[in-house]
Amino acid sequence: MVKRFRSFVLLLTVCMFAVGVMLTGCSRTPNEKQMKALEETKAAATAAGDKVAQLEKENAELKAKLAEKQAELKNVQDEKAKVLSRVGK
Amino acid sequence: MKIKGTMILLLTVAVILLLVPGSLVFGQQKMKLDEYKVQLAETQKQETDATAKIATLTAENEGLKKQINEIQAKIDATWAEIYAAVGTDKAGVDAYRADLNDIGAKLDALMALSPEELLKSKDEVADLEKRLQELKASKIANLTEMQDKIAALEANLAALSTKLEGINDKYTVIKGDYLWKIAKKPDIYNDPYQWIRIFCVNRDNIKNADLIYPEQVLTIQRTLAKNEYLVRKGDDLKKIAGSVLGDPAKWTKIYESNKDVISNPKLLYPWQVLSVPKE
Repeated sequence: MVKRFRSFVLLLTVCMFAVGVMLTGCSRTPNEKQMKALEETKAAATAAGDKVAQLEKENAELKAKLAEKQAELKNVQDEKAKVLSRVGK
Repeated sequence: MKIKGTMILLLTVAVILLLVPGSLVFGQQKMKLDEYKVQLAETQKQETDATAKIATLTAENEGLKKQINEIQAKIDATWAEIYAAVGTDKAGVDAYRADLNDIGAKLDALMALSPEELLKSKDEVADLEKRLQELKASKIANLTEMQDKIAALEANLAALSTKLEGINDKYTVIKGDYLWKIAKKPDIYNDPYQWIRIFCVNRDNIKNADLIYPEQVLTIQRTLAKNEYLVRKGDDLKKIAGSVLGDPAKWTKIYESNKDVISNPKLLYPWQVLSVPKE
């Protein structure tokens, strides 16, 4: 009985060891240097994304200002026509 | 024998615990190399895309700024042409605008005056009207902005003239009137406390200040005659006598002349109109 129990324990130990080795040793993970590179790339991507957002905001503002200036130019040109007609030129 | 079996069992559990990898306990936290590669590639793509977009947006924004500057230059040039057409420059137009604004401020101040004060400022109204006509004759008046301003000022001047014309020195009592209410009217004194002034000036016409009748015509005093004195806060008969007769001791003369409106020589009210006797 004791002998069978010992054999069972031995078999169980060997199995667990094998499973452990398969789960850890056999699956490869990135090393510290690779992880650092990934973090740096992520930070750079985030910074670039922020810059894009800032430029897009500036772009929208500039487009609005351009439209405003175009309208102002049209008004000034209309004003010029009116004034010239009033002063008889 | 039993102890030996238990020890083997404990030893087995210890070995299992030693061998069970951390990945089974914290299995979801550690990244596999394949996942790492996918994530790295995605992140690099994101960065590359963003960098390309930055370049595009930067160029586009620079182009927009250039366009805005070009349009601004055209606007400035067009204004310069407009100013030249009316024979001036930006400084001249600014000065003209300041003149109109000054007239506007003065008209607003005049509009806020009481009828009596407005009557005193009649000459100022005429001066402002003259100044406005002079400005209107300038070529700068052809600018739309100035035309609008001039039109607004002319409307204010017209309102002021109407107000001046509406200031009468007579008031016909209507049903429901009383002296306080009449004095409070904007075209009378705009000040209810001046009811006593109406009472004093119309002393021949009003026997009891609380009793006036519809259709009764009251005189509204606008200016003081030479022999009249308008009581101000803080006045007393001695002070008035000192001021108008040159001797405080002659206060009794004033009292005697105004007995019908002064019941107690020690009690004068602001806005009472007293007649000043000849020395």
